[in-house]
Formats: sequence, C-alpha cells, structure tokens
Amino acid sequence: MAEKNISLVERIKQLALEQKREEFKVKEANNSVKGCPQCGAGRAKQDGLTNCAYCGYEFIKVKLTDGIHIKKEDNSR
Amino acid sequence: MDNNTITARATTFFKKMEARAGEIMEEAKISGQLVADADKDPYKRSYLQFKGAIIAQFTSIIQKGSTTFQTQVMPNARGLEMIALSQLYNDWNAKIVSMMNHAFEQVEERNLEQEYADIMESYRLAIEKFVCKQCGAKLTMDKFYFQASYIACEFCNTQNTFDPGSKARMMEHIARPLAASRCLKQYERFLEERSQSGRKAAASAYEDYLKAMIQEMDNLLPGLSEQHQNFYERMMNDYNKLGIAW
Amino acid sequence: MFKKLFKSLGGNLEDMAKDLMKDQQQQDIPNGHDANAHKDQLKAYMNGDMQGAFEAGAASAGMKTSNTAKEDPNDPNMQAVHGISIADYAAGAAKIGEGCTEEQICIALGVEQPMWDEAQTTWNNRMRDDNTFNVINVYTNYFGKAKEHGKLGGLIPNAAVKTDVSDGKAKEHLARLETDKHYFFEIQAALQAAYENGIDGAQWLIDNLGLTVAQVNGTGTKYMNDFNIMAEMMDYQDQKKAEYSKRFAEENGTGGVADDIEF
Repeated sequence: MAEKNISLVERIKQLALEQKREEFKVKEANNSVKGCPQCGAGRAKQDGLTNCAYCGYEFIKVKLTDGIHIKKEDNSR
Repeated sequence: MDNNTITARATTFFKKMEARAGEIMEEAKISGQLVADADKDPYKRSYLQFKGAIIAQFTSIIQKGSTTFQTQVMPNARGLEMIALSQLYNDWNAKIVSMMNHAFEQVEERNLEQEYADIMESYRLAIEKFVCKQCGAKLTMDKFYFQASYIACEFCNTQNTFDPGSKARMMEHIARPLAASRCLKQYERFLEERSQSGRKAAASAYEDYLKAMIQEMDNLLPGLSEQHQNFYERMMNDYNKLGIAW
Repeated sequence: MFKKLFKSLGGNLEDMAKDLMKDQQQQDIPNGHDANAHKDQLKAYMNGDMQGAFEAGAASAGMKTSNTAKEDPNDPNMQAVHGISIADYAAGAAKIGEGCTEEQICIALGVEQPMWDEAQTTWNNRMRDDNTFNVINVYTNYFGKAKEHGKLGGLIPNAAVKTDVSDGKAKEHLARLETDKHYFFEIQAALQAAYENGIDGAQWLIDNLGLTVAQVNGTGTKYMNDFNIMAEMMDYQDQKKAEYSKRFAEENGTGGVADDIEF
C-alpha cells in the first residue's frame, strides 16, 4: 500500500529513481585478430577478409558490399 | 455574483483545477532536474519514466475538465452564457497544456557536450594502449570509430578487429541531438523567418540549419556523410511536402 | 510504431475517416501526385472498407503501408549490406530483443561483428531517411516473422532477461499473444497504463509475463498491420487501460490528482 503523506510528484520521483531494471551491460573497448583455424595464418589487408590467402579457408560465407568502412575490395579474390 | 450560477460554479471549478496543475508544474520543474541528474541510465529511462507519469497527471486534469465541461457545464448553460463558458474552457485548456510544456522546458535531460567529452576521452585512453595482436606494433587509429571495424596494422598489414566498446557506441544515439544543439543560432534564425514570413519563405533558412546540422553529424560520426545527405533530403522533403520541421 | 498513427485519433471510426479525407483535400497536390488515389480512397470509404481507405489515403500521399510495401530487388534501399538482408536484420533485431547476443546472430549468419554493425547502422538509417515508409514496413513484417527465419528463428537466447516467471509460463503467454487479439491489446493497454503511473512498463512485462517488449510487439505486428482490427480494438484497449490504470494507481499512489475538486 503506497504512503499517503508525500506529494504525488514526490511519489513519481521515488518510483523513477528506485526503478529496478536489467543492468546495462558495459562492453570495454577491445582488439583482436582472427587467425585461420586451419593453418594459423593471419589475414592481411591486401588478401581480403573472406578467405585465407594461404589455405583458402572460408572465414566469411557472405559477399562484402560497399558499406561504411568495409568495401567490396575487402572480398578475397 | 450568485454562487450557484453555472458561470460562477464553472469559474471556481476551473480555477481550482488550474491551481492544482500549477502545483504539479512547480514541483515537477525541480524534481525533474533532480531525476535527470541522478539518472545514470544511458537511455535516461528513469527520467523519461518520471516525465511520462507527470504528463499523464496533466492529461488526467485536462480529461476531467473536458468531461465536466461537456457533461455538466454546457448542458446546463443558456444563451450568451454558452459563449462565455466556451471561452473560459478554451482558455483554461490552453493554460494547462502550456503548463505541461513549461514543466519540462528548462530541464536539461542530458548534458550532451559532457557526454561527448566523456566518450572521446574514454576512446583516447583506450586506443593509447592498443597494439596489433599479430606483431605487437602500435595500432594507428586515423579517426573515431563508433562501431566495430577492421584496422590494418601499418607494419605487418594484419587486419585487427577493433571494437570501441559500449560507451563509444552511444555516439550514434546522441549525435543528432548534439549536432542540433550546436546549431541553435541557425535554428533560431529559421524560427524567426518562419514566424515573420511564413513556411515557404523560411525554406532557405531551414535548409541552412539542416546543412549546418549534418555537417556537425559528419564530424561526430565519420564515414556516414552519404547517409547524412539522405537524412537531409528526407527532412527537406518533409518540410516542403508536409510542412513538418522535425 | 503504428500506434503513433492512432495516437491522436479519438472518437469513432467515421469521424476518423472523415478527418483523413479532409486532410487529403486540404493538402496542395504536389507534382506527380496521384489524383486517382483520392477517388480510390473515397470509393473505399463509401464501401466501409477502412483498410482500403487507409491504404488509398497513404498511396495518394506517396506512402506505403504494411500491405502495400514492396521489397523490389532493384531498389537501392533494399540491397543487402555485407550479405545481411532486411529479413536477416529484422529477424536478428527481434532475436536480440528476445535475449540473444549479437555474437550468436553473427555466428548464425556467418558474418563478423564489424559487418553486423555496419548493416545495423545502414538499415536503421535507411528507415530513418525513407519518407515513403516502405523500408520500415518491410522491416516490421519480417520482425514479426522472426521465428520463421531459417538461420535465426530457432536460436536459444544466451542472455535472456532475468525473471521469476518460469520458462513454461512465459511460453504460454507468448502463445496466447500470438493467437488471442484481445489479450494482445490488453497487454498493450497494461504497458501504457504502467508508464502513465510512473512504472517501467518494459520491466513490468518481464516481471509479470516473463517477456520483453520486443517479444510482445513481435507477436502483434499482424494486428497492427490491419486497420480494421486496430479500429475494432481501440475501445477495448481504452477500457482495459482504464482498469489497469486504476489498479496501478492504487498500488503506487499515483492516482487521484484532482479527485478532491468537485464541480
């Protein structure tokens, strides 16, 4: 049962400040390199992102388009 | 005045309702800012929750006034009384709506410049220590990446996958209001032009405002200039065809 | 988002339709505008076909609805971004709303995080910048059909929301929302009533139904797409909102702002 001796606005303020929610998951900045799981080679810029330049392993099954920073040229030949 | 006339009763009633709305407004002005400042949620959900509930209180007052007017006041009014009472109600209604807006006009929901500064500082500190995970050389970030991106190492050319973290990603969320807040001068010039010369004549002032705003957005979110140009065109279309200035 | 269209509509169906028509007639007819659509609109209205009247009205203003939206493969706005189509993006968004992680979505689609991020930004901006509402309508249709998506439909959330509602009960609620339109509009009403009484409606859904807003809205896109259903259920939704509002006001002390003021 809600208290009667505080103002309506005060009550609304209380509800807002005490509201429990799912915690917003903070993700820290990070950096990683994906090596080929087949032969261990890294992906060099000039070889494209989609296939391993050494053993042909398919990193990415889709075709890259001209996006924001990723471009069509990033498809392995 | 006979206190039992419809006019006397209506006047008293609406005056009391107005006073009640005034009380809510005054308290909300102060509490609103307190909640906004205390709300650490990235999406300001607690503040929006507060605001929504306060607006619902005003709506409730307007609803009660409207129902009373329609079902108890007007049906019992005679002749010239009806005109005066309609005026009384309309003025009252406009006043309550204005109070509702006034309650939040001065509240700073979020300090966008501060948030921007925090984002950029966190980003700067984060990238200072990033090295290529293949060869260990320092990674050069030529710009602000607001989402996960591939950064090629200058020395070994390996593609590193860089994720700027959740704080940097908030930039997409605040870019537009931040850009708009930096173009207040142009916006005010547009408003003046529109009130003086009408919507069509103010189109070029609106254009200037939008161009300035998307220039700011390009700076805040590098790489999206084509998309921002589409945004500009959407806004101009809505203004010219629908008369809406978002 | 169709709620926005109906937000300002009070009154009955006829008044609503008449207002729509009045607005159309008062607008300057821009170049290339389809004057025949006005006639179509009038004809539909006269036949009591509100869905038809709504769509003709939208068409005459150059806008699409959920039924008239087209996924034209030659439309630049419909091109996949790094292989992520609008169907993929919408289903992905729905599954993320359900509690899947972006990582799960990326693995299922065979893409990496930067590709998903670019697709997300691009699709969101296309919706923002499209004054015909075509993109957003196609998106919404796919959002509501997420469970039919070949690669994403069956994903089990790795980051499901914390709730005391059992998995079984949550699934029951979901199934009921899918098939019982009265229940769907009742829950929409409860959501509105919650916010009006200072409670976080999204959290209320999690605590009471074990479902997220995305899950609830996903079940209802089929209702929201149908103008006739929307019009039919408006009064019911209002009635339910009043009931929930009374209950929430009592529970939270947020009601009766002017109860003591009598005429």
